[in-house]
Amino acid sequence: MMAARAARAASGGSGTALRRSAAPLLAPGLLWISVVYVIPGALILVYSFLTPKLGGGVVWQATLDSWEEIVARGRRSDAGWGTVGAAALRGIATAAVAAVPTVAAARYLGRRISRGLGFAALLGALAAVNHLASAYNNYTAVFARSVVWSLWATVVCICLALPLAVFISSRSSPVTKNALLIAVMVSFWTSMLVRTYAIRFLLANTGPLNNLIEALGLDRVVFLNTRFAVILGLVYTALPFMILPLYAATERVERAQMEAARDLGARPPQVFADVFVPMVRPGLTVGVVMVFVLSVSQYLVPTLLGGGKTNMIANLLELQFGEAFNWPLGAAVAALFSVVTFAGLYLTVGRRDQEELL
Amino acid sequence: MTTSTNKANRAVWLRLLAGLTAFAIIVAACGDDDDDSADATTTTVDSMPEAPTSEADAETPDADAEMPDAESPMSERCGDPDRLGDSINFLNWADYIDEAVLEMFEEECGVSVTMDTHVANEEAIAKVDAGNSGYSLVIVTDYAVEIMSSQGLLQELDMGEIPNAANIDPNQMDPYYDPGNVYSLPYQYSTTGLAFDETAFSTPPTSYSAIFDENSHCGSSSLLEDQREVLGAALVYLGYDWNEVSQAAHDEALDLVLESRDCVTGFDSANYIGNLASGEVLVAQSWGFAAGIAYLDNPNIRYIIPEEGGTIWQDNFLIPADAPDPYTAHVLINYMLEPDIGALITEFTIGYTPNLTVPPLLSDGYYEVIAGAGLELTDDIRERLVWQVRSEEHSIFAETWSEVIAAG
Repeated sequence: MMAARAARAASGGSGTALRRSAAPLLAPGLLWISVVYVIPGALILVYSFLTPKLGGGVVWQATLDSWEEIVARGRRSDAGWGTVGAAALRGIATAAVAAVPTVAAARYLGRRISRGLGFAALLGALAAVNHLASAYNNYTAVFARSVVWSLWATVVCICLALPLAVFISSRSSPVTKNALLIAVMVSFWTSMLVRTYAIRFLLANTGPLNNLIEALGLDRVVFLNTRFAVILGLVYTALPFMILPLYAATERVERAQMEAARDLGARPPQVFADVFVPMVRPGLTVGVVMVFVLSVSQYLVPTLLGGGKTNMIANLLELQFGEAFNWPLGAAVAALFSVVTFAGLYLTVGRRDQEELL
Repeated sequence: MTTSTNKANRAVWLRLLAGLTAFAIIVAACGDDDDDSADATTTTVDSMPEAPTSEADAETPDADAEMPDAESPMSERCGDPDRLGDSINFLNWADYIDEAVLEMFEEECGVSVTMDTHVANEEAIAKVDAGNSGYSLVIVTDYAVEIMSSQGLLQELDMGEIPNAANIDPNQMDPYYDPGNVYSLPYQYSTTGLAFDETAFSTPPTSYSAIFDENSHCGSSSLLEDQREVLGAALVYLGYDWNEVSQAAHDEALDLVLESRDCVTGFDSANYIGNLASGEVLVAQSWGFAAGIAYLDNPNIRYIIPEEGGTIWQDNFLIPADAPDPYTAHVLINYMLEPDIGALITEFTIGYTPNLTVPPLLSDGYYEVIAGAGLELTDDIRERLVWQVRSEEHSIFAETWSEVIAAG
């Protein structure tokens, strides 16, 4: 007892000492973070309360115009109680439709029905909020679109990356593993701009993909400048950021536990949901956050593959900081968006009881 | 054994992963940093007293230039060798000058030119506005001159040092954005209209209806990614002025653009040139010079100024108020207004030259493109052209355009 307390005290003491001695090492990192994130972030917030200047920049004169524009003035005339009703209906409909598979899945996996219903309700709420935001004003509409597309990209990335990660980590030869992982990362060695242009070329109306489609006797399909192209680009760009953490997580999965579960009578989906997923959850969380955050702020992909017809938040920012000469409005959009994204991430993956979701 | 290999292996990969994560964060941070550093610099400048202007700064390069290059006798096109610097920083649009011109200037006058490029007037304004940009010569489009001069970012040109200014077409002088050419002289100019593939039309289009209402090439047409050009075209098509700022007119124009949105492949200011040449796009709102470039690859490309009207725009030489070497900038401006140099420039840009001594020197190839693509600027066409004015009240264009962005 005494020994245990002493040991605890000792370890605590050495921990503090370690912390103190590590302080100088920490300084460059802290300085970097404050210079690169905190100061610009604060500046953006300050700019959002200033007056725009023709030609770009700001006049140092405080005003609430930008925030008013986002919150009130930019409001669409057709958004009213009818919209709220429609949003609610849409949320309920979505939840109802989603409840069928989620409840079935919960039952099949031996979970409580309420968990399936809860997940369906969450999807319904998302759909309702999306509907409201899309109808409220230009800014919320673009916010909503960016978030929804990024969520799609995240889901697609999980579906593609999970089997790949399991496949790579189940190779017995380290050489094969390394080769496969390098293959995943090879794309990083070419500029993203060039790669995005390459996709543009592939998807063009007169591009190779459409030539193939025509050669097969089918009609050419418009891929470029559609939401399909943009989500494809998001997935393409972010996929390695899902594969790598998932690989790191699947490497640590104890296969013996999964075999034990199977021996004890668990069906494969149950082994997956109750044994495998909890073990890879940390990697999954990292992957989800990275893919979502990278996607939601993408500029190149919606610009090059969306062609001005499918825009995300960065395109709106570009307009305000560029041709519109309205830096304060751009700053307000950026600040609001950062807060919304941060809050969303905190609520979904930042809390400890994330098991509800993943 | 296997376990330990696995563990070592895993450790390596985890480290690699951490490295990659750090890399991703740095990349993201650098992305942020671009905007933010611009913010930061502007703040400093705004909160400081006016940057000291040229006089004092201009002395420094003179000291460097005390020993002019003795080997090659200076041409008389190089101004006063005692005052000429040995290097100059030049900010120009990307792909907007034959770089041979810069090499010739270096060879002839001994001044090495470092050219940076911008892809938007807004970018050029921001660079100069941030202060200490180091540029002694900048090229931007008409409205940007007005914005920059009104904010005290420019210095007056000394026409005594630019005798070749006398060669400039009076039509292109004394523009709305710089009455009396106090701060600017024209570099090149062009127009905005419609380009189309002749073989795709039984009767050539004469109106914006080819894109707006009666689009016979739905899915193969494009509009520029430019709020002013697109909304302006919609406004004139609806019978309003190109620079109209009333809410009612903008509501109508917005509806028209949103209706046409499904038919245009995109709002695009760069890729459509190649797409016109390849046949991916058959009719596009286009810069005049760009139609000429597309014509070089596809001789079926034709260019028109629609009956409703189009825009004329002009790029200009400017000297920033805090230019390190205004004298050398004046010499370089004068040099680029020499007939032979002007010809090199216009052959490259396929724009129009404001320099009256240049047209006789332009090649048959240039005239073949101008005539073939229908780029001749006749008086009749000139009457249909307007300048795009940009002042505070024109912020309504951005408001309308944000609706277009929000729509999809």
